[in-house]
Amino acid sequence: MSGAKAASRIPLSYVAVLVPVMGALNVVGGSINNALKLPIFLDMIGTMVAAVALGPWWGALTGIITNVAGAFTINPTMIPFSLCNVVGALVWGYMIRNNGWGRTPGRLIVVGIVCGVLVQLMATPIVVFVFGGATGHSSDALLAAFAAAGNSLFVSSLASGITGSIADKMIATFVGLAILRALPSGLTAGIELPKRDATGNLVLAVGGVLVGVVFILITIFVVKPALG
Amino acid sequence: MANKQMTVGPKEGAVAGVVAMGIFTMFIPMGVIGFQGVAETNFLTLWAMNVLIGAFVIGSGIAVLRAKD
Repeated sequence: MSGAKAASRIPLSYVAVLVPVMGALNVVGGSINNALKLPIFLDMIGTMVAAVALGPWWGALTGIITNVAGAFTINPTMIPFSLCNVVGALVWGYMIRNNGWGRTPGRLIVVGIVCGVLVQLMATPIVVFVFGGATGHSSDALLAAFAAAGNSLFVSSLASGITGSIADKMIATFVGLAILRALPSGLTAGIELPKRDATGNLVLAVGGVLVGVVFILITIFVVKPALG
Repeated sequence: MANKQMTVGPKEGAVAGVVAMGIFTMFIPMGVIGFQGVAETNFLTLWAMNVLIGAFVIGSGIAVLRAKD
């Protein structure tokens, strides 16, 4: 049952502003990530904000808009991965907005891990069955290393993407939280988030990024060398 | 007389999800646009069918939005 008391009705003006702006934020994040060739994605921060502030299905709409727009501006392969953005929106929306999982930073870390795992479970069949394992993302090299170690393509794809996915969702969760706390309080009324005076927005965002970077470093310096 | 502020609730949220799926259905063939060996006519047929299905999905979402209890 719902533990939070988020407003059941939201002004239409909030939706009309937040959905396109957060979609644009996702596209910008995805473009930056694409330019820097990072082993993460950065295209779900806006999805997180929309899913928590407006509701899970508004977040899903934001995610689909992101990937359709990104297909025209970044990479056409983004379209099938719209479903990953939808899964992320549903996890963030139902866990944080509807069930009070955003109360403490510790709980938010759990949300980031759950989101990362579920999104990767959605992405793996797309990578394997639609793209045959190669999407052009920087995690392809790690996938090849896993496959060369004798694992099946499905296991290789799942294992190579999971740390990057968790890192990405952790960053999205905490940077999104910093954005949520900077929004007018009417937008987040009734949603259980860490208290505004407990930790500064910048500290939260930097902390989330650091946790994400730790996962990326584990991928680069522990997982990859272990595979030879 | 003061203007009544328009609001959206869970029903409109669900409609947003349906419309999102409709948009996704319309554009999914673009994900395979770079595949080699896909004949252009087959691709266009697939895309046209997806656009049609997507339009119906979006239409169903709008129908739910307009439905009265």
